[in-house]
Amino acid sequence: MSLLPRGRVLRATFGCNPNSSSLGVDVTFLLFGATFASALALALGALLRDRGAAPAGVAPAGESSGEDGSVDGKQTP
Amino acid sequence: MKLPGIGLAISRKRAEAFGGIVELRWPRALLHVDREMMRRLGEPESPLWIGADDSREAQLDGSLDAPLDAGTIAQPLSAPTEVHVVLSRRCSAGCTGCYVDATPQGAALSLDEARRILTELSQMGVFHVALGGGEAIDLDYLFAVAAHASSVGIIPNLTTSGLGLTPEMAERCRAFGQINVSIDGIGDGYQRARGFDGYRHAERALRLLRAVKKEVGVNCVVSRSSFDGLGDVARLVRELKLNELELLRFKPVGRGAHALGEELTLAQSQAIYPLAQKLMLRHRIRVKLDCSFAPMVFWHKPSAAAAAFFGVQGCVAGDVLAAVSPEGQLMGCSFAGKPEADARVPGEMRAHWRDGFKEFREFASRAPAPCSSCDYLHLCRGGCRAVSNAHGDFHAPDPGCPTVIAHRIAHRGIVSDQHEVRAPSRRSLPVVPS
Repeated sequence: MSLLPRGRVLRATFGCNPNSSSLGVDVTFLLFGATFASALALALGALLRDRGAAPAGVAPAGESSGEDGSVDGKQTP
Repeated sequence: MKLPGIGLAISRKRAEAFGGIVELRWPRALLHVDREMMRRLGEPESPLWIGADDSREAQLDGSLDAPLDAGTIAQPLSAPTEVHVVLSRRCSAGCTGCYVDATPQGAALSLDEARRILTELSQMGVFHVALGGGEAIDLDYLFAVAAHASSVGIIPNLTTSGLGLTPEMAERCRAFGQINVSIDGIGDGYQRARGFDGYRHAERALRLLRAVKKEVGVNCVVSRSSFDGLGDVARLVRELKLNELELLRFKPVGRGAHALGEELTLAQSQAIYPLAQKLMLRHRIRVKLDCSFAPMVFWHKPSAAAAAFFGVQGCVAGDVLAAVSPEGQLMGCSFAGKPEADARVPGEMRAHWRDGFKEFREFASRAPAPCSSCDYLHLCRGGCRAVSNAHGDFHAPDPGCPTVIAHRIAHRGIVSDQHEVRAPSRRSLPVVPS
């Protein structure tokens, strides 16, 4: 049996990219290495699972949902 | 585990084959999560969730859990997470290396076209758009485009030269998420890189923008001649309290196609990643390198697990990233690739996303040597297709990759004064006085 909690964060990218080319390397985070990445994955996972315990918006299958329950999650940033 | 007092604000989420992508409003982030997490967040079972939760179909391609085997074609996302919308090829600055070959009379999307495109991107599930050109702030409908993006749930971000930015316009720039001003050098360094004396205008724009919002940074194109001035640019970012420095590799595209001599030397390519780390530590600023720098980063053999988790990837065109040209063409990337659809025609982008972009998506499965034997292929994806294309072969490994250069020297005997390949340093970073 896996010791990892069910419901995992697999990847995390931070901030917004205003550029013509995609964000490739966030030096700030990559510098800290795998141990930091693993710890961050666990922390974010725990926070998200905690967040998920609250009622969330429900959308039809195959469509995204916003926290306000609106289909497509339309929301002003 | 619960961490009382700390909450994540979720803006949107969308299903993917591996689970889904969750957009956080605070901290601003995109999280790729597994299916179980999506269920916990209230997402109903998705038709994209084929196979069992522990099946190959449920893995996130390219992550450390699921590196791509030779011959495997990566499963693309159901939609890009970010799209570069090139609003125009219209700009009067005349920068010598402009990748869209912008002129004062260049083509531009109309406001109605831009709105329709943004609406469809929102329906596809796109989270961010990068608005640029050309000089976007020269368009009198730029802020209407930004307002529409926000109204359909997409975060609009902006790159600008800052030329012509007024205090009133800066105030209106609150509508954007991240705004970066292009500065490729300080003072005379700016003029050498861009071909005109615009530094004072760019710095003024940074100050105006920083006065109204925190999410302001600098884009710096790293070329052979601008490389030595990166420290000065980083210092400016620190002094103005900007939130990031983005280093963009010079790509010989557009007017820059005639400037192959501005590509980085091998020594510079090998030095860019340690230099970025050094600038980050010395100035305590956030430093990013764009996707085309991936080969130069992976040559130093960083942690693959950390790279996978933080989304450090090479060419993500036609997967994470797409672009819309001022002529309305949907492309994998703003710098290379063939048009895949007419973005102005309703439904065309969505219809062509699933099965298009093969020239980008199939590279890893057909990668020639030395990429085919590289441990980082599933992350690097062969480097930058635009640079390869500019050198005559879209499907060739990135010619600027130090590993590729070493391979060519070993197998073809190509030697030049730029092709001195050194082993990456395994030493700790030098202690740099602040």
